[in-house]
Amino acid sequence: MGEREADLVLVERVQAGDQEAFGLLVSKYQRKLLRLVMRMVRDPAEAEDVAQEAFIKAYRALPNFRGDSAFYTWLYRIGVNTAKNWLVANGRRMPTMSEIGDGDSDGIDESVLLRDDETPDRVLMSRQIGETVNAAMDALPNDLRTAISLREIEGLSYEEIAQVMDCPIGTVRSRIFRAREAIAARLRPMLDIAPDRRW
Amino acid sequence: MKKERSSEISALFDGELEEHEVRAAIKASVHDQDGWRMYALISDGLRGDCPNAPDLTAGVMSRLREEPVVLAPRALGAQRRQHPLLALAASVAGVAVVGWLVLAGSPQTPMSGENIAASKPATVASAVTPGLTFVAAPDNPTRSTPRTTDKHPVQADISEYLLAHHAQSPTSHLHDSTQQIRTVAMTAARP
Repeated sequence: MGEREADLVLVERVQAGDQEAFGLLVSKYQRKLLRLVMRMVRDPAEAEDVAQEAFIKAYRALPNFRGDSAFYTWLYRIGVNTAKNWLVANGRRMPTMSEIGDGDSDGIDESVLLRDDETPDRVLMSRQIGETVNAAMDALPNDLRTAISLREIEGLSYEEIAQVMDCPIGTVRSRIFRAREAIAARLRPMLDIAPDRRW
Repeated sequence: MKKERSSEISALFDGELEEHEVRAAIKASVHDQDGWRMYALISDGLRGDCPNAPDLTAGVMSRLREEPVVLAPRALGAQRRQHPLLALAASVAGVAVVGWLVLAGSPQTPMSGENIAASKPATVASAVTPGLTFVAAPDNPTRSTPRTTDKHPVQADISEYLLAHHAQSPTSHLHDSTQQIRTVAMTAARP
């Protein structure tokens, strides 16, 4: 079962009345959708509102989702349409396609994330999260670091990673899990003590 | 973070579970949303996707609680799991039912007390619709014998509604080709 099929199972749970399953999909794709929306709606606060509205629209439209496309592709279209409608309603210029880009392009310039009321603490927090993740990665044993890099950065499946690392798929699953737990152990203290926790 | 957390949530996040493991993993993820969110944060952090972006989950879920709960027919599940031959069998069975309606139904045929007592009607909806009564055969509750009780035609839209929502019916699950057929009891409104 691939990631697409796993998402479809979650969608099926939502269609059966389980709203909490939709929360898992929100948690998984919120930043990706937010990055997409921010390419069209420049203001971060407004982009958050638009992204939230896109999720609500997606929930309402779920009875019509048949799985012909991947869930994120479908969500992506709703996000784009919601952002377009917001721009029209607010009399804003529609960005060009080169400005929108695609959903999988590199991370946007951090300066775009700055709001007029962005405090130095928040900017620092953003950098600290990234640095903590990188530091945790550097501290991982080679096999764990390789496994999670191949998964998260290269996007390989467990089977492909198993072939690359010449180990069983179960070992790949275990290494990725242990790598995530190790990184989370470093992140959690920093996030728990953050004065205005945003993650 | 719980040390005893198993790797199933991590594997579910990657979509790398066997089908028989998925449901238990989803249940575990719903109960351990902190773990799920942390994995999402790590994933986004490694890819540079707005690591300091606010968590929209709470706001979205708060608004969802004010929304009507989504209930959709199992169109997605049926599409994924249905065997191709079942569709053919369902079509044949559907044609057979329609043929039965045309050939065997008679608006003048009364129902005797013995037939009513012996039959076991399976009621799917309580809608009172003039036109048609289906009575389950005594020896096979999954078969139905139509009886038209008056001259009003069955409303096709109600039949379509019942067919689409049969999964939510409290009646027992029908297997194989009869899965696409519903036994319903719709009694005519008698003056």
